[in-house]
Amino acid sequence: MRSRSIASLATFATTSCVIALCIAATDAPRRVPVVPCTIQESWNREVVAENSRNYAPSRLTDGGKYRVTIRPPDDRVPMRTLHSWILHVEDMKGVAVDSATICIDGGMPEHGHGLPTRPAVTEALHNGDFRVDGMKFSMSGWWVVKLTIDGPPGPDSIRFNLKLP
Amino acid sequence: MRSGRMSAIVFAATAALVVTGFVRTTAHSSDVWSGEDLGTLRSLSIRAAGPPPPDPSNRFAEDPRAVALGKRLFFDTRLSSNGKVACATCHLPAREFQDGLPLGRGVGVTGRRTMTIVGTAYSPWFFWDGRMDSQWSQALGPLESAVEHGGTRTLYASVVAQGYRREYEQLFGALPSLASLPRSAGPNGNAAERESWAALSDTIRDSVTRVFVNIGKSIAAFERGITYGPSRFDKYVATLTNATKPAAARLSSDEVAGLRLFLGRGQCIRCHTGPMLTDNLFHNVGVADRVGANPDSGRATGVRQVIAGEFNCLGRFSDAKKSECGELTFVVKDGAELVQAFRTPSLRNIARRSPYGHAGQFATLARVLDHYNRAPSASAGHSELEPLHLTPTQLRQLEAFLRTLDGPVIVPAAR
Repeated sequence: MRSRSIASLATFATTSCVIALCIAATDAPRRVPVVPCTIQESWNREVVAENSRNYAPSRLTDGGKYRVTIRPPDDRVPMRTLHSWILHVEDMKGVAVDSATICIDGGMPEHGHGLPTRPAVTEALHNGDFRVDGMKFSMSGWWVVKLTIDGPPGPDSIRFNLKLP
Repeated sequence: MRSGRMSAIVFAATAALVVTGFVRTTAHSSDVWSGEDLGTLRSLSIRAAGPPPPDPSNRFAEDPRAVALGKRLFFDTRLSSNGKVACATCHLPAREFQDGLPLGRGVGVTGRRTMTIVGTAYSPWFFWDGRMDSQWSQALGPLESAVEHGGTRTLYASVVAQGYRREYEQLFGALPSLASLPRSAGPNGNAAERESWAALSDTIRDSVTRVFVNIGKSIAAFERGITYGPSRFDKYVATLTNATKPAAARLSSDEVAGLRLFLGRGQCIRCHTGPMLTDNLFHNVGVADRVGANPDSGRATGVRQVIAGEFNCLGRFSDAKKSECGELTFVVKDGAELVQAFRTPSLRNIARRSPYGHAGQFATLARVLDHYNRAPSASAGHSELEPLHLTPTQLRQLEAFLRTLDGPVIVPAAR
């Protein structure tokens, strides 16, 4: 009885894995066109205590509608070089958000200036991943990257803190 | 176990003594820098520059034949309306590839200071306002300026046909037939030259413009290798960050104090970053226009020009793919911060390049530093500066440090 259960379980697991693999094989990344979108923050001089800044790369948006993860290349932000990021967006149930209008802007609140470029989300990749092109940081120090996200759960926003060496 | 722990403590204490002793015997107390500062100093060193980034918009950028042709074109005064002006007229090799004048002088007088071309292969933007986005398109701007070279596209194509046909055709293919063309015609010439240009067919205009573009790409290939060698500052950083060598290249206590101000209270590092000591970006630092000059809006106008430019990275004369034109695609197009903003100049060899400012407004480094110390308001837009409140001694120390950035200029040998 027990051995039969184990065998059934193994068969089920194998079948599931095969099905899952088939889905993965046929479900190649879909590149969804994105709506061009920009926000322009005014980076007025602002002082925020170092110990009150949250530097986590994966956080909930201000209104709690999304969990967003920022992924610079190799998890390291290059300096003075144009580069791309991947943003990963999930809803509160942990389901990947594939369709959303995402705007991005960044700046240095302490210095009162923005990014030297105007980056944009250029591709919705798959499984909640979005490609951001045109990222560039001109100097070391505290940077803020602001995102506004408007997908099926509704509009929301988040500010990520970065400390660049 | 316990004796093992004791051994470790004894070893650590001995090591600490040895390290302390080493620092005492090899470095002056003013040469002790935090790990963070050492990282910053390394990032400013010329060693951190490496080779210039590729220029996908110019497929001849690394071709030695283009370097050789570009070098000859750079010094050729026939590339001007009066036969007296070459690139080297304002970009003098013996003067850091600039002219030492407040305003450039070609066939007339320009509205701005001549920028050096040394190290420009590292910049995504050219001119004080960044109205061009490659070395080759930069080289074309003065050729068609009425006050610089003052010539036109057909004139320059005929100079190539007469003086450089063999070298040109080896690189770029056959020159178009120029026999029946007007001597001087171009889209940016005087009224008669523009009229003559408009009368030409699209095919002829395109083929002549391609010759013009290839002049720029050749000159750029020559300019690409012109860069800075190590300065006293670079040698100092090298000895600081390589503990096995003695600190042979010392800076004086004033120079080191100036360097600390550069990184700290002086806030110079905010814009003068990286091995070329420039962020290659645009800032309003409240430098007033010259008395009687037309107001200069700087980047606010320059960005519109580069976006609309015939010779930009995305244009049909560029060799780059669209995906390789990120700087232009993601450029900051508008905003109050662009008004009267000018490109940060490199500080390498800065002591040899007076006068300073986009129109040569400051005769000496001391006057530049005084300006930054006082931080006057901008006449247009908003200055990013805030008063530094540095003492006269500190200003002198900062200047002393800036003078340690003098180093050789490296010019590639053209075959």
